[in-house]
Amino acid sequence: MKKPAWWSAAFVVAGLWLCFGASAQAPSAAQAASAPLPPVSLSARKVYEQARSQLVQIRTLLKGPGSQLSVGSGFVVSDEGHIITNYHVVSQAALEPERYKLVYVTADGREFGVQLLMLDVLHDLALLKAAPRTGPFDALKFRTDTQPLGQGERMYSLGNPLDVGFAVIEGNYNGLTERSFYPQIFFAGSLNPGMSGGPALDQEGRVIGINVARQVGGEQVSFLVPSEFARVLLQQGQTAPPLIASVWPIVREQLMTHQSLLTERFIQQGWRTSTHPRYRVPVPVDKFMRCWGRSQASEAGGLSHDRSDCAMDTRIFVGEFNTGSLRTSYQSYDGQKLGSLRFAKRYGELFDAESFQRLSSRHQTKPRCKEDYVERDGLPLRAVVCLRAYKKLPGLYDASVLVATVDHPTSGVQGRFDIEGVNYANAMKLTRHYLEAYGWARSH
Amino acid sequence: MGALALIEILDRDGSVRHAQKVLSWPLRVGRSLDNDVVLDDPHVAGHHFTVDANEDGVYLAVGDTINGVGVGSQRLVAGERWQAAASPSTIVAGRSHLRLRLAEHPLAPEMPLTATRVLAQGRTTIAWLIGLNVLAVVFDTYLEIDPEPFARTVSMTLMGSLAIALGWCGAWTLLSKLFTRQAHFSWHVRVLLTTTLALEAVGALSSLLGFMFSWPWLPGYAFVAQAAVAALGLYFHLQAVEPHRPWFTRAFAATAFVVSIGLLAWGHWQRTESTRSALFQSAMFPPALRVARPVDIETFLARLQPLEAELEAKARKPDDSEDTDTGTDDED
Repeated sequence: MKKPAWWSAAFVVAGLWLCFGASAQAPSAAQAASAPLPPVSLSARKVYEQARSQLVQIRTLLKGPGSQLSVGSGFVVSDEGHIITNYHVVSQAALEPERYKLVYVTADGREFGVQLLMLDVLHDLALLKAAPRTGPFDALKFRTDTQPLGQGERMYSLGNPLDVGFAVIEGNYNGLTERSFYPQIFFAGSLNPGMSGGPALDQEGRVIGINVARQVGGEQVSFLVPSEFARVLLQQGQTAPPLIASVWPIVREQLMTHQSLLTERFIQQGWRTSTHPRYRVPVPVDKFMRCWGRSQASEAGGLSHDRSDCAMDTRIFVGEFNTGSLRTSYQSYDGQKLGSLRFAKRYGELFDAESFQRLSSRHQTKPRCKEDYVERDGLPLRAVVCLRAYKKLPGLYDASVLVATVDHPTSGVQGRFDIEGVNYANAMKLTRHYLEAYGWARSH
Repeated sequence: MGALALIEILDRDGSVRHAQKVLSWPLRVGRSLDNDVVLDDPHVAGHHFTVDANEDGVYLAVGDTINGVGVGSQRLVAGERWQAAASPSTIVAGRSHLRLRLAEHPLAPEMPLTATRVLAQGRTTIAWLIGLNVLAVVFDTYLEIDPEPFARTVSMTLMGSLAIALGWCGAWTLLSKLFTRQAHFSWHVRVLLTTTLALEAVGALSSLLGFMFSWPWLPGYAFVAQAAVAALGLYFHLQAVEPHRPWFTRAFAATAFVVSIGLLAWGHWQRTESTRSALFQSAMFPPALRVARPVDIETFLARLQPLEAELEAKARKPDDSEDTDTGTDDED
């Protein structure tokens, strides 16, 4: 029996990456093409004219035939020709430099070579450097932290949407998004695929953020990486030598930093109290996770269940997959009308419907599992832990913990905890943290 | 004067199609009409062989044939001779099977009827088996579905099972009729009903014991026992099709067992890189049936430690499989 998928529609799925490629986002491109652009005000024209020469399009080309694989945007941030864009705009060329190369195209249509200097995978940023030329480059300035923006303030996002031409999109600043693991600016404006890596400017033309994603299913709900992270990246990588080899080791190193921070913050935030009348069931505090619940009574006199799903909005885009995220869910089943034999049968089938395969075998090993009855606080549980190792990110693992209470003949709770992209020690730490959260409810 | 010998022409299933007493030697066998026994078989020569007697006893002389004569496991070519054995021998000429029984051969004692397998089945056995199978189907349906549409679902399941059982037994009956000229319908019904009960029992028992003692390997490898039961079922079905070739039916069933185990294990390996049918044991039973004592979290986590090295070694292996599985990226 398949689990109901009702909740997937309810999830506010963040992060349609705005890199525009032939292979992806065709439906959203069509959707975007039909939406009329909002009228451009006088100040938008001024901002665009000022920033036009600093704005570039970043193209990923196939090395042999030179045809373009994907396009994004970027902007010049130093007079030596340093360019900031998103990591996901350049990820293919960064991970497979033997197959792809990067070029940038200026607003007047000229194409030049560009090299990768440094990455910030966690904030989805990349620092590039344009091939040297005789004159200095025009550079955009960062807006500093000492000049905070007010909610509703006008701002302008620039880029090359869907490869149709450079454009300026007017919108509003709405502060930082809630429940994001890393800070992100909530921009009320329409970002489109192809604008990734482009700058979002204030009325004076200073960089506030970098276009990164938009909400699928939302209207004018877009996200920017705060410019502070780009400023730090520029500072650190300004004089770095170009990255020639594949960046998998760098990605891995940054994911290692992410997973230790994630584990620490997740364990620190603890669990919610009183989640079930009979048991203590682990449901995370929703500081950087979003939870949805649902209850369903059976119409045919069978099993009724309550369900809760919590997931992080933040996932780290690695290249061909995402990782670095946590998810928990539990289902509480009541089968009083079924009787114990029938309930047991159904309860087992529901436990069986769980799958452990997330990524293809090119990226991950097949799962290896251990299972047993585990006792916590006098409550007997059936626990299954399955782990998969990443093939290109050695030392990182996905773990899934499945738990079913086995104390009552006609009711029970089944929980699942999915851990993505952590080292083995943290996988064990998080597994323990999750298992230890089960127990009898205090009122029981 | 009594007969010197009896020459019998056998059917494919070993039964006698035609028998002829031999009153005088020689006995000539072939396709030509001047033979004593005429075989209308295109692979038989005009004068295929002759059986005659001299002072050493009865012998067979092969005539002018390109196909030769088979006697027991021996192969005789044109012009060869063969001295008759002390017991009746099967002779193969072309595609015809014959048997030569001499007067001097000792007569085998009469066999009691009970010693041979009687494939006809008593009604009581069949009735019991039907009853048990119906119970199993009803119980399975009861476990599967919600209380409300029970009666309708159970009647539909029973009808479906009946149709499948009749189709299955009907096909075997046709085979039996084709090869043995007997239907053996009740035999096939008995084999099918016993096999399904045994399969059900193996599945349920392995899950139950797996749950009771926390032995996930037991339901994980129940497919081996189930394949064995199915192969036994096949063996007994075949007994009513090829009753005279026990080595063939045994070899066929054994091969079917080995091949099915191999295919199933290979399929599991492709899916999970383990020969077990499932990654973990999921079947649940009422909690009172649990015998295994739960371990504490510490012990459980300690058992997870060896997986690190295993997974690390697996991850280091280069891409061994093509990207055929449908791994779903979470990427939007």
